[in-house]
Amino acid sequence: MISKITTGALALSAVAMIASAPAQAMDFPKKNITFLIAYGPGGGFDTITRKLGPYLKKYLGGKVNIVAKNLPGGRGKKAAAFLAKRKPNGSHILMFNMPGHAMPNIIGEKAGYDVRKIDWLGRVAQFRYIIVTSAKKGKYKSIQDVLKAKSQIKIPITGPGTTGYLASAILWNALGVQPKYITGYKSSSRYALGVIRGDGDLTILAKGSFKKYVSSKKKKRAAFKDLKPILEITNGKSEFGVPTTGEMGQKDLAILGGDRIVGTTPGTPKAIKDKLAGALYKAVTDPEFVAWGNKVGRPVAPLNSKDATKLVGQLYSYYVQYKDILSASNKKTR
Amino acid sequence: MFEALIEGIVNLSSPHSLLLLAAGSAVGLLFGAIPGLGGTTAVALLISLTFGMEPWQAIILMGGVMAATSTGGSVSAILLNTPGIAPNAATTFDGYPLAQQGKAGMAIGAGATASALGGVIGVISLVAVIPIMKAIVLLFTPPEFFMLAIFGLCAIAVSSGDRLLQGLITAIIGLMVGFVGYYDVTSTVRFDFGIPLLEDGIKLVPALIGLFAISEMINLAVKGGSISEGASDVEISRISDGVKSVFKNWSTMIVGSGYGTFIGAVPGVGGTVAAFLSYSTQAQRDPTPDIEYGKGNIKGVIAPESANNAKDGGSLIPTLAFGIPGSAETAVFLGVLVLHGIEPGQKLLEDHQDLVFTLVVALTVSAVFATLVVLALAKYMALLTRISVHMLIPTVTVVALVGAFALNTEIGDVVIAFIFAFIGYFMIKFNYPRVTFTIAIVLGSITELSFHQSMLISDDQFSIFYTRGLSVFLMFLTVLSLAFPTFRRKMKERKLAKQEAEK
Repeated sequence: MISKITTGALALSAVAMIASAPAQAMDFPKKNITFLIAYGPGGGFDTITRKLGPYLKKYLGGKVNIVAKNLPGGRGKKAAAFLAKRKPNGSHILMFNMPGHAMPNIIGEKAGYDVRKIDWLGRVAQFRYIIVTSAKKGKYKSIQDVLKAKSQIKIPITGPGTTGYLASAILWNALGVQPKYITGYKSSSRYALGVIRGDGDLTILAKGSFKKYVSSKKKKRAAFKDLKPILEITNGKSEFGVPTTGEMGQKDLAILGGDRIVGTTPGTPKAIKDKLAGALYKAVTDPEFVAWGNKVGRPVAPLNSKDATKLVGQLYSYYVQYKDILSASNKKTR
Repeated sequence: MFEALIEGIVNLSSPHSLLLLAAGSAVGLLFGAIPGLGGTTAVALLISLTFGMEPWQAIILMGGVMAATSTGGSVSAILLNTPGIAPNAATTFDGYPLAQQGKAGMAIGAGATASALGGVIGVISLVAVIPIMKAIVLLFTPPEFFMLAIFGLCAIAVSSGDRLLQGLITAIIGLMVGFVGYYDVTSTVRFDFGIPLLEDGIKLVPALIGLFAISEMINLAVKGGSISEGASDVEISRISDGVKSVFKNWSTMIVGSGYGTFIGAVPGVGGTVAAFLSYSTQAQRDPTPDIEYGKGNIKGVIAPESANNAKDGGSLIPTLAFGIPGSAETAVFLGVLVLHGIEPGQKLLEDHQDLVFTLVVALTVSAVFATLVVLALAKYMALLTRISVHMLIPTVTVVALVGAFALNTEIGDVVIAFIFAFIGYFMIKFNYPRVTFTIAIVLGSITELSFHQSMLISDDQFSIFYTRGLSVFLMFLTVLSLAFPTFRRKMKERKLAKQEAEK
């Protein structure tokens, strides 16, 4: 008898849950949604989040606001941990910096969140890398010169554990080059400047940033005109007419780069998640937003929730293979 | 270029634009004066307001804010010993003693005038160096950053006066404070004792709020009375004297503005270092002052304030040359440009010269406007120094703590402010200089980072510091700045001895 009652109760609650799911989605969103920014005002994440907010509002029905909130700290960990601790009701979302945000989980550092458990809504943008040197001050004129180099290659870069550093560590390890990192630069534009000044020999740069840096009506006047690509990380044909990692037989390396993926609190009801993900996809593919991205050198790379979730899984599996290199680079002190 | 300048002036000349500029200026003054808020917060808060604006209108609003914050910050630095924004910390050293002596109006007058003139000089310098700005930015590599930081740290010796030992002790503690938290070279967190709040280091603004504002309130609570208690007979509003003092000490203002522009142009150094360097250089240039520095010398207000505002023009140099922000405010400002579909850097100068000059004109007009507002209100603001402690202490403490909290909506920052308040109070009580402590906190991380990077670049060869032209020049300046006061004092003593002998 008791078991019948229990079964009946369970069945009823299941029916209620199924019935309430569309209702939740219909109601959602009733309150403003906080779009967290894991870094301070002014940077790339801040700008793209703020720009995306109004489009997201539009595709969520336009009744609630998308409130951008900077929550910098712990190199992005603070905002992700904050998101993970919210009630799973879609009230908070965050644009993750992948693979940077996954690193603490991969190397076993305390983070307060797990990227494998985040509910992923979709990807907004991505970037891939090239290796650049200074045409004027660089000792190595080509990637062949680098591979043959007898002395240590000096690479100005941000600190260990950052996306650029991780990609560098994996790339040079695969190519059998032992680099010496000149770390501590605050951003890619600063270490690109370091290469031009001759602080080091070469560095890794996002292709979009490189194009932005060297674009000018008069090439001679381009701000970073001295930067010269020597290797492109891709399995396709090089955009810059330089050797590629694919041509060097390093097909795996093509995954190296950065992905801007939006997630929400783990355990968010599917109906709410779907509504958020749908709106996000429409926002990212809105022609106005796409045009803006192209204009400012931040082209969009939309992926839906399912593909973004799959991508996070792939990224995690890829980077976890290099756990030892990444742990070593993260603990590296001089 | 001339056409773009005219377009900039035209953009600003409509009533709507002037209203935007005035609004930006007013917000900048207010956010500058309230400790903890500052220009970066103001610019970030106004971002969403600019969504519906044309890019040049957004630039006018932001320019208004950026040029006015440090002028606002000088008012609280002088009246309440509370730097409104971190770069105003150096203004407290002589500004507040002047307020205590009943000369708040004079100090505000001097500070505001120096701010306006510094701002104008900074902007003119920016326009003048546009053709060579890339070369200027490229001059600075880690060894030069290190030498610049050492030059600044030498101010510790000068600012300590006859309290060298105490100065060194507080400087060492300051350096230790500066080393807490995340270190960019190794990406490791140091000295955080497992406390998440300390992971990103001890933030300068809450620390300064505690060190200067709240500690002073504790001190006042113990003493009683009012800020200018002992000076009640002195005329409180000597604003015109302050304005005149800037013209009288024009060389101080010019040197300060030079520092502001120069340091502003070096990315990652910022207005706080500019103000401190300007202050300490002033003290070094003037080894036998009429009034001792730190005890109410008006030149100690003019030097940092002119540097503060000149920095706004200077910090646009790396922004226009490479799209790299010269300060935190400029970083947010760059974000505003990107939101409006404008890519900062060389292309901004090529494709949108009109916008660059709209900003230049907005910065200039706002600096002057903010100064006029402050000068008009100085008489009333100076009365703050006569308010009884019973009203002043709770008000200032609450505003200061809200400022500390508002920065990152982090309750831990309030705790930091409290801890530094007690450190500050004991430093006042036992006569340990807070100047050296602050300089060390500000310069500690730059010194360490640039030294470490220099060693990485040179494979641990110290020769990197003395084989590069600018680095050697900065080293020479450091030695000169240490030797010059002694040399000048000796010369003066010799001259006096000679004069007495002749009598």
